[in-house]
Amino acid sequence: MAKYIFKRLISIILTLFILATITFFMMHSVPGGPFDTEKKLPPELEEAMLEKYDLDLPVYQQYFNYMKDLLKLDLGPSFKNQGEMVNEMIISRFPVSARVGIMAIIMLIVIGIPMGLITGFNSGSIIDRVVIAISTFGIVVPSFVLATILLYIFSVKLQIFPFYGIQDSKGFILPAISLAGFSVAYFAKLTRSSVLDVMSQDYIITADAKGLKKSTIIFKHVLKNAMIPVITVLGPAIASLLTGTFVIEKIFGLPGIGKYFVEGIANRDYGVIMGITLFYAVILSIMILIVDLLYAVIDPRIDVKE
Amino acid sequence: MKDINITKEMLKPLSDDKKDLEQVVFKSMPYWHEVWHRLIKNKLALLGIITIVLLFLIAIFVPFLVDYDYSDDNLDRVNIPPVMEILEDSEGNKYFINKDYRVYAIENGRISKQLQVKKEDFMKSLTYYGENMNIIMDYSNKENIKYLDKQGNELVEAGKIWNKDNILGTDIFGRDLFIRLVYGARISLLVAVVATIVNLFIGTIYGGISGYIGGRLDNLMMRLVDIIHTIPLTLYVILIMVVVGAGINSIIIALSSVYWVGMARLVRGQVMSIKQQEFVMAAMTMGTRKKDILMKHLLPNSIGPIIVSMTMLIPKAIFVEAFLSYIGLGVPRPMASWGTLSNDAVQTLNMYPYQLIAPAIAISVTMFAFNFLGDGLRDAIDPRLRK
Repeated sequence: MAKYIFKRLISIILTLFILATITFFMMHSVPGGPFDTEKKLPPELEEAMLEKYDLDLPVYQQYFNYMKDLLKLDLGPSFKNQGEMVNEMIISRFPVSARVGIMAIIMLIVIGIPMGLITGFNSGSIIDRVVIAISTFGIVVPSFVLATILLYIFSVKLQIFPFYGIQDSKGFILPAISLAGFSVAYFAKLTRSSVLDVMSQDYIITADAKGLKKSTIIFKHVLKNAMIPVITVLGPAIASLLTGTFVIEKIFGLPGIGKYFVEGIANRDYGVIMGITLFYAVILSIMILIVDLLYAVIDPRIDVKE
Repeated sequence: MKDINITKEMLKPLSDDKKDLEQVVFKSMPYWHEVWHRLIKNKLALLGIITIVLLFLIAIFVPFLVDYDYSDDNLDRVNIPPVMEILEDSEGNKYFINKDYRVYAIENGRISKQLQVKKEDFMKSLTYYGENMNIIMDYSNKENIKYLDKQGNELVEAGKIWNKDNILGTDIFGRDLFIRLVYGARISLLVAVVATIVNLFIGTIYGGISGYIGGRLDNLMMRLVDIIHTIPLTLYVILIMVVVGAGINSIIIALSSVYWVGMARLVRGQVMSIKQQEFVMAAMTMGTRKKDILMKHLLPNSIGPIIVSMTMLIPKAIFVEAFLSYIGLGVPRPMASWGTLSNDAVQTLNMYPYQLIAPAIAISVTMFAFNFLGDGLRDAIDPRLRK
């Protein structure tokens, strides 16, 4: 097991290295730079800026410098926000996105998956139909529409929640619901169809035929097998919920990492783009690794060493 | 169970022309015929198809039938809602007073003109002048703003009427929201269809080659797909837009260059499982060229899942287009897409919520329709997948 994890970590590092290389050159091949603003800087000032951030060096030289710093886990400075380090920015902004994300993940696990299980075990019932209708709605309504509708009802009309920003912890609730809407609905549907699939398998019919109690069948046989496809999708979903989305952060005025990233790209802030792309990739890779390890726990037939 | 009276008549041998009664005869149907039959039996899928056809018809033809377009502004009619609450004075003249305190005279159920403000004693009240119909807005009491007519009587509520000139109302520049929504449908559907077709081609060919040839090449091609998958979509799209410039073209290029990845994976999986089957082996034994095996045997046989995932790609593309427009990277103004319409409406959500409702419903209905069609197609093409 330890050997397997070690091997996986090596391959994650390799992927990150290739990703960093591709992103670096892609980013630099796009015209424009961090100091091309609408108002042209005086040429001497621009030169000084370029020199300060080593942007006057040839691209491959910059690449080697960046990679050297990256080995020390230093993501370098932000080019746009003077004097700020990308590491510090991520540390200060990630908790905001993560807090909303964790609330959404909790909703997903506490509402989405159980709803899928309940409807899967009672397919055709009234609850089943209601949940299917609601989850179809959740899947097709875009998050920004959901967010603005929630904002209008709860902040403008009822004035229960703040309209903008996060002065208190109440400000996190509406963003979390808007963010979770799609995932909760999606996981309810996925879990339901997975349960139905397992329930129609021969071994469940056998277990039923030999007179096992219904609770034993559900807990020993159905749940474990039905969770495999759910967990496969859950890993990447958790990664994307955690790292925040630009739209939600923009609508609700949260100083999160998603907003920072899009602004960084728009400003051609090379440090920010590289830093957050790598940060996303690290979280995604770790989640996928965890999922693969969980497989082995749930289903011993899956050999992780393969 | 019902008792059946068996008579001697029934036991007689059948005449010759009735001898084929026991044969079960089904009309044999071509595959796609059968799929179509199963598809339109599914009510939700049928609803989806009808909605999609209607959407396309509206998007294509309505702009020809209406003599104004998405950029025609009218600053005398800004932010007029689709349903107007009417006030009436003691002489029976009707007025509509908008939330921005503009006063319009209503004649025959339509807005006839806007009453102009004359600045006079505006510490306490404003007077709006029309021909023989003056209105005084008295705000000396801030909590209770009163509207008075010439005689000093307060205006009374006189019900609600539909806005017949602009059935979905107007926006902040007085542009008709209905026609903007229709032009938005054109853009959203165009982007979705073109991006999906491009994805189909790149994804099918890439995935087909990777799955068919296999081995080292497959490994290499799939690692490339993995890496493209790890790069955040936003980064990709924005960088492409910087190179190509904002607009429909760059949205289409951006979407097409990213989303084929999923299609490639799907086709590869299909091709890998089909190439083990006997008929492919037979074709190989007969010396069929590799290209022909791929194009004539492998890809046509994996068409089912490809079509299903195509119908799912369309709503995804519409969503991403709306999302890009929403964050300000979409079509240039004054053109409208559903995303830009939603984004504009959010700015004025507080005062004029009706401006968001129309684009939000349009996006949601389209997504519903394509999702229903996709689910229906999946069930119709492979009934075993029905869940």
